[in-house]
Amino acid sequence: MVTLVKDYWPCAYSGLPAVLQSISIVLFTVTLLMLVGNVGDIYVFMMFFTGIVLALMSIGNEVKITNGELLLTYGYPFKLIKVRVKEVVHIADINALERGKLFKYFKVVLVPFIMITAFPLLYVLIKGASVPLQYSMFLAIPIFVGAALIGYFLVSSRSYKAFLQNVLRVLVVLLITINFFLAIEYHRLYSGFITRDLNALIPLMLAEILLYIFFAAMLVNAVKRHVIIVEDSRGRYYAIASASEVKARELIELIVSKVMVSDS
Amino acid sequence: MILKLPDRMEEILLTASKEGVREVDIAKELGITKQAISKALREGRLRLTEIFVTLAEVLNADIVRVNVRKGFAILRSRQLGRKLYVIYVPKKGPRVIIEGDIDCSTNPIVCKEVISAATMWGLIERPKNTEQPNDVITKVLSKLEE
Repeated sequence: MVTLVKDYWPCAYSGLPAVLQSISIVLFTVTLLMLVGNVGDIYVFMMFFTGIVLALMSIGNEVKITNGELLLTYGYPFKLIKVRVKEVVHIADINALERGKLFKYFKVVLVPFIMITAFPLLYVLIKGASVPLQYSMFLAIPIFVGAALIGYFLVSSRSYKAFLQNVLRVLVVLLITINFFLAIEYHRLYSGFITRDLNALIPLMLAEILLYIFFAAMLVNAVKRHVIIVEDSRGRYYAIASASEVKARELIELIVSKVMVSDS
Repeated sequence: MILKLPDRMEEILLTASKEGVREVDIAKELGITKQAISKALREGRLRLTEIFVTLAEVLNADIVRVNVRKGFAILRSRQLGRKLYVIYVPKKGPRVIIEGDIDCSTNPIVCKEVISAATMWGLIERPKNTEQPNDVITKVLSKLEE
């Protein structure tokens, strides 16, 4: 039996883990909108807590090869979901392919990403000027996160790096512009400088820092990580993330030799 | 190791490579039981994987992609650093095309075999007579990279 734990993680792109992850992503966005809209604390807490639980349940924990089968385990800290992959007919390092796009294999995952991009935009359209100034930047988080994730699934690995660089450029320009207008708006409303009001400034800065951290993580992910897709004889697709290109190569060789070339 | 599958096995694998074809349909078409089809498919795919693995070892290459449902593999040569596209040609065996080294005027037979195999495996539509072999090969390799 071979156990691989350290450098591989099953991705929640298909099956039950994908459903749980999708619900959690949408819940986090709804929680954020409820926070901005000052909706009752108990509902916000319940939504956020449920989102956390579902997200933890869908986290890829372990990849094992045992008796000619690939065993993907999800859930953290407890291993709750086990997916057995038998009769592998197709394996590929999607990042090593010129035109490899995750969207071709995992279409449903796009649904929550589109939802989290659309929800804050709809919220702003409906609420308009009544969106609290200090929390307005938080609305940009799901929009940019959603856009970055949609791009991750729609374009190839090579194009994604260029796409991410362009998104980062747009983000920098957009945030500077938004900051400028927020400062003007604050001055118009309160006749003072926003830099002297920490209660307004901290939430705005925090949202921007969170956005930059997310994009930095995405950039590292795009450069280093390789995603391996696996298809079984029933036409179901699974994804495994590896720490590097070398690790991806090692896993492909292992799956080919221990799972595909196995008549058990 | 012989890098060639038995004809009957090839026939079953090719029939199963078509979109939406079920094992029951193949059994009806070939006049054998579903169990026999399942067994032949498993064995055929295993043998095809072995062929690709053997080629990777012989060519000193890493495996980037193996698709035994569609009869192809992509390897990366450790010495050349270039990709090697392998397509299993029914009744002949695997054929290798080196990335950036495709010229159908110097290798017309290999090109013809690869195009024919890509059509049989359902990777591309049957090319029109007006299409240049080099263009069709580019189309095939592009499909393998998707």
